[in-house]
Amino acid sequence: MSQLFRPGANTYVRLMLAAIVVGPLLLLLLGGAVVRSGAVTGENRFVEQQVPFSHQHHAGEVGIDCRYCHTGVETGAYANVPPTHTCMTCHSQLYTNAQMLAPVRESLASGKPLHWKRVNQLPDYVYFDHHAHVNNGVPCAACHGDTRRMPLTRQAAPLTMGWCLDCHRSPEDRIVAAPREYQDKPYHERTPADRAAGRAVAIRIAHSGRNITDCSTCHR
Amino acid sequence: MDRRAILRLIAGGAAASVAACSGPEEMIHPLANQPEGTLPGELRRYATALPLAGYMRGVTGHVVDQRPIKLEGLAAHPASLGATDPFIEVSILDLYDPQRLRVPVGPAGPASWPALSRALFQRVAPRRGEGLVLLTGRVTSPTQLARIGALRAALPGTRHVRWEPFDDDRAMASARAAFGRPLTARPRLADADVVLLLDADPLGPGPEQIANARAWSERRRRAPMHRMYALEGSPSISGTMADVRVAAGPRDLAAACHHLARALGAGGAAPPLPPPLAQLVADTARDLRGARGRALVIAGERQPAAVHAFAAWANGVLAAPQDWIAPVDPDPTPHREGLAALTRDMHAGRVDTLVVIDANPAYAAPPELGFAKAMARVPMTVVASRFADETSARAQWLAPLSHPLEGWHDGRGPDGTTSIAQPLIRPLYDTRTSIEMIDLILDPAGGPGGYRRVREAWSTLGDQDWQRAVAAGVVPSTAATAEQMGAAPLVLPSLPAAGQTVELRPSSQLYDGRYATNAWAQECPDPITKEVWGSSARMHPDDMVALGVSTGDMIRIERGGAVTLPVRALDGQARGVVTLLTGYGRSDAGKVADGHGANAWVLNTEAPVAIARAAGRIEVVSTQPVFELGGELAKLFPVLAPDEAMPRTPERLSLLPNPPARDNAPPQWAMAIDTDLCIGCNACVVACQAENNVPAIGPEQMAVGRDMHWLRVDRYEDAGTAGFQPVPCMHCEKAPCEPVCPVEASVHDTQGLNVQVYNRCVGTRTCEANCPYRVRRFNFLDYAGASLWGDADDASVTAQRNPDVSVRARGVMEKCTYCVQRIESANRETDAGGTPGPVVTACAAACPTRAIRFGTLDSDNIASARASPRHYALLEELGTKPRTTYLARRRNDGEPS
Repeated sequence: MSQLFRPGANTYVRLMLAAIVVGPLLLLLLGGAVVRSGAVTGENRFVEQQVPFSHQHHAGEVGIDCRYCHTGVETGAYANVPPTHTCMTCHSQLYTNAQMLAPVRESLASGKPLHWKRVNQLPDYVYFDHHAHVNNGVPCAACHGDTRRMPLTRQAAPLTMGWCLDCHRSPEDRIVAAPREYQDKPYHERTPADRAAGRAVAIRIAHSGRNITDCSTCHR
Repeated sequence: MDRRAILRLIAGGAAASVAACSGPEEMIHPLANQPEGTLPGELRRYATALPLAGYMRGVTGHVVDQRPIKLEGLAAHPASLGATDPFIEVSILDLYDPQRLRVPVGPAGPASWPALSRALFQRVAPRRGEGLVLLTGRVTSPTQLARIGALRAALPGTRHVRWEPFDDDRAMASARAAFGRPLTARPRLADADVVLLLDADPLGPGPEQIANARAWSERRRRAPMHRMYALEGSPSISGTMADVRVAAGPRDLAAACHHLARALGAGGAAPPLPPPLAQLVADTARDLRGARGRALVIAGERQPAAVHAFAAWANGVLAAPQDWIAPVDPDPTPHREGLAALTRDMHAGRVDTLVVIDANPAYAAPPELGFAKAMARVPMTVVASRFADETSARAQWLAPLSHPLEGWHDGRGPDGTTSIAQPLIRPLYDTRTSIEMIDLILDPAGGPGGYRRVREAWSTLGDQDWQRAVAAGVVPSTAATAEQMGAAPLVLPSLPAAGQTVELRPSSQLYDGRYATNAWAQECPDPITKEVWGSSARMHPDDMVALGVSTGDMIRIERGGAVTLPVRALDGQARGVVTLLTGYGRSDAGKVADGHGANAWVLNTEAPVAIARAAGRIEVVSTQPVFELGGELAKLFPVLAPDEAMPRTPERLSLLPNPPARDNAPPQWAMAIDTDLCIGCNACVVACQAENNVPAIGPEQMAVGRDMHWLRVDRYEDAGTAGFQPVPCMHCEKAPCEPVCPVEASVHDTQGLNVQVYNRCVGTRTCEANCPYRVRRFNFLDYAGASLWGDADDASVTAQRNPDVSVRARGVMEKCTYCVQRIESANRETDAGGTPGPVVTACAAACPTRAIRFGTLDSDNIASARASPRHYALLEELGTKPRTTYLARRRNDGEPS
C-alpha cells in the first residue's frame, strides 16, 4: 500500500501546531507595534499647511516667545492658534509683499479665517487643559517637542493615552522650574531647581488627594 | 490577472488601509480678528432677557465662540432670581431649530425684504393707514410701543390690536368693577402664613412661575410652617404642593365662596357643600381668620370675574399681603373683545392689510370668531413668525422673525422691572426682529435697525448708564409702584348650572402652543401625568365608567367646536370636570408639532358641553406608570408632620467595593434634594438636557421606554399628600453599577463621583440592569446623529451642543455626571493657581425653589441638609450609600400625625 502522506507531512503538522500558538501572539505583538507606530498615532508626520509656517524661523531664529501667539496657554484649556491679526502685527511691516504670505493678507482683508490643519490632534472625548499643565511647570517641549527646530510643524509625541498616563503617573520627571517651560531643550539640561519644582508639584498633587489618573480628569 | 493575484491585492489593500487608520483630519479656523480680551473656546456669560407672552424674564446666556449654548437665570431680575423654567430652557433649541423660517415668502414664492416692504408701503401709504391693522401679542417693550406710536403718527388710520390666548381679562374686569380702574394683583407668597387657592396655580406654568415659586419656597423654609389650601378642578402643581387639597368643580367652588363669605363675616345663606369640601372650607376659614395680615386668597386666572372680585374682597377683609400695581401691559382693551372686534371687521371687509407679528390666532383664537375664515377676506395678510404655523399657512406673505437672542429688545417683567435685552448672536438667517418689522411698514429701506431704535428709546440713559443697564440685564428702579387699595365690595359668584364642564389649562411644556415645534418641549414629561409627545383629556375615573371608557379610549368633546382625543383617568380630578391642556393639535407647523393631541382652543367658548365615546384608542406615552404609593412603596417618598423626624435606618453591611473617602481626600461632592420644595416644574430636566447634550429621541422611542433624560422627576401620591421627587444619579459610594462592568467603564473617582467613561463602554448594559434607582440611560440608536425633523437640514442643532461634554455614539451608556465638566473646570482652575467660583450643577442652577442643593460634603448647604431630621436616602437599606440624598416632604394639614 502506498503512503497517504508525503514525507514532509510530519514537519508540516509540527510547523502548523507551532504556528497556531505563535501566530496569534505574533499578530498581537505586530498589531501592538503598528498601533503605536507613527502611521497610526501620527507621530513625526509633517503636515502641509495653507501657509508653510516655520516655527524654526519664528521661535528659533527670531526668538519669539511661544506665548506671543499661543495666548490662551496660561489662562485656559486651549493654547489657540493665533488670529490672522497676530501674524499681521509683524507682517504688515516685514515681508509685506511675499508671495508665501498672500493667504494671510487675504484673510485679514476679507475677514475670512485661515485654514490650518490640526497637527496635534486628540480624540473628541479627551479634554486636555493647557493652563493646568503649563502653570505647573510642564514645558511646551514635553508634548510638542523641540519646535524651535521644526521648519514645518510636526507632531512630536504619540499623544496616545498610554503616553499621557506615563507622565501622569510620575509628573515630577517632566516638570521644570518656571519660567523654563518656554525655553528650549528643557529636558536635556534638567537642573536641581527643575527637580525641586517637580517634587513640589508632586507633593501638591498628593496633598490635594486627587488622583490625576482618575478617568474624570480627562474624560467627560 | 488571475484569481490569486486579485485576492493578494485585496489583502494588501486592506492591510494598508488598516495600517494607515487614524482619525479624520481636523481643521482649525481662528478668527481673522479675535475681539480684545476674549479667547477662542472660553465660556463667557452675558445678561439678556427673554419674553413669555410679552413679559420679560432675565436670563444669563452662556456663550462659546460667539454662539449661545445654554440659558440660565439672572439673579438681578425679579422674574428670574437666578433660576429658570422649562420655557426658558427650551428656548435655546428654538434658536437653532431646523424648522425656522429663513427667507421672506410672498404670494409668488420666495421673496425679499424690500419686495415685502414695497408691497406694504404701496398698500398703506396712499390711504394713510386706513384699513391697516397690526395684530401682536402682549407688548411691554417701550421701544416697540414707541415704534407703534410712530407708525400711528405717520399713518393715522393704523390700528393696533393686542391679543394673548391666555389673557387676564377677568382679573382686569373685576378690578375695574371693584376699584374703578384696571389693576393687577401681586400676591406676596413669601409673607403669607395661610394661603387659599381658588383653582389658582401660582406655582404652575406662566411668566410668574419662577418668582412665585421662589417666594413660596422662602416662606416654606421659615418656621413656623405655613399652610396652603387648594380647591381645584384638576391636579396642578400648586394643588400637589398644597397641604390640604380638595377637588372642586366650578359649582362647588362658587358654593365654597359663599361659605367663606359667611365665615368671614358677610352673612347670608350658603348652598350645601359635599363633606370633604365643607371640612376644608371650615378649616380654611378658621386659619384665615386667625392669620389676619398674613392670610391670602388667590383666584385662578381663568375663574369668572366674580370669583376674582370675591378674592379681592376677602383679601381686603384679611389685610392680605398683596400689592396692586397698574397693569404693566398698557393696552386697556380686553384681549378677547379686541380680537372679536377685529374679526368682525375682517369678516365685514373693513380690514385691508393685516400684519400679524408673533401671534397665532388661526390656531388659538376663540372658535366662534372664525378668525381663520376671516383671514381669507383680507386682501393682504403678512404674518411674521419664527416657525410656520396655522396663521402663516393662510397668509400671503411670510416674514421670518428673529429669535429674541438674535436682536436688540427691551421689555418689562410681570412686576414692571424693565430689561434691555442684548443679542447673543447675529441673525442666523435673513430675519428681522419685531421692532424692525414695524419699521419695515414705513420705510422700504428697512429702518436704521433694532439697536438704533432701542438706543433711541433709551436716549435718557447716558452711555455709561446704558452700558451698565445692558451688562446687568436690568434697568434699575423700573419696578411698578405697589399701591395699597382699600376694601373691595363683596361680590358673591353665582352658581353655574350643574353638569359637565370643560376647562382649559396651559401645558407646562408647550404653554399655549408656541413651543409645540420644540422637540425638547414635546419630550419633557407633563408634571402631573408624565405624558410626552401628546396629551390626553383628564377625567375622574367614575365619570369615565359612566361614559363607558377607560384610559386610552377616544372621546369626543363638544363645546362650540368639537375635538376627539384620548382620555386618561386621574384620581384627583373633580367629578364632572374634563380638563384639556392647550398647545396640542397643531397643524401646518412641521414634523415635531403636527399630529400630537388635539387643539383644546377649539373648545374655548361658552356653550353647552357634550361628551361621548368615540372610536379608536391612542395610548399617549407616559414615562411614569404608577403614582399611588402604598405599603412597602411608601418608603420611596416619606411624608412627615411638621415637626416629625425621619426614623433612623440601621446601617447595613455591604460587600460592594469603594470604601468611604479617607482623611486627606479631596472635596467630596454630594447633592441634597428637598422634596418639600420641589414643585415638579421640570426646569432641571431640560437644563440637564441642554447642558449635557442629551438627545431628544422622538415619540416612537419614548413609547418603548428609552427615555434619555438623565434626570427624571417622579410624582407620588400617598394617602392624601402628593409631591415630586427628582431622581438624578445617586453617585453611590458603594455603587452596584461598578463591579458589574466587564470593561471598567463605570468607575469611581477620588472626588466621590461615579464616572461613566464613554470611550470604554461596549454596551453590555449590565450596569443599567444592576442600578436599583434606574438612572442609567442607554443609546440604543444613534440618537445624537438622528434627526427628529425629517428631511430638514438639521446641522444647526449641533451648534447648540456644549463643547465641554462628549456627544455619545450608539451603544454607549450615559447618566448624570454631577456636571463633571463644571467640577473639572473648577479643579483645573485651582490646579493652575486660580480661584474658581463655586460649582453649581445645571439642575441646581435652574431650580426656581432652590430645592436641589449641590456642593461638597463639608459645605454649609450639604452639611446642614444631612444634619436635618428630615434627611433620608433613597432605598437606604440596600447599602449603596448614595451621595444624592433627600429631605422628606412635610404635610401641614393640622391633623395629629
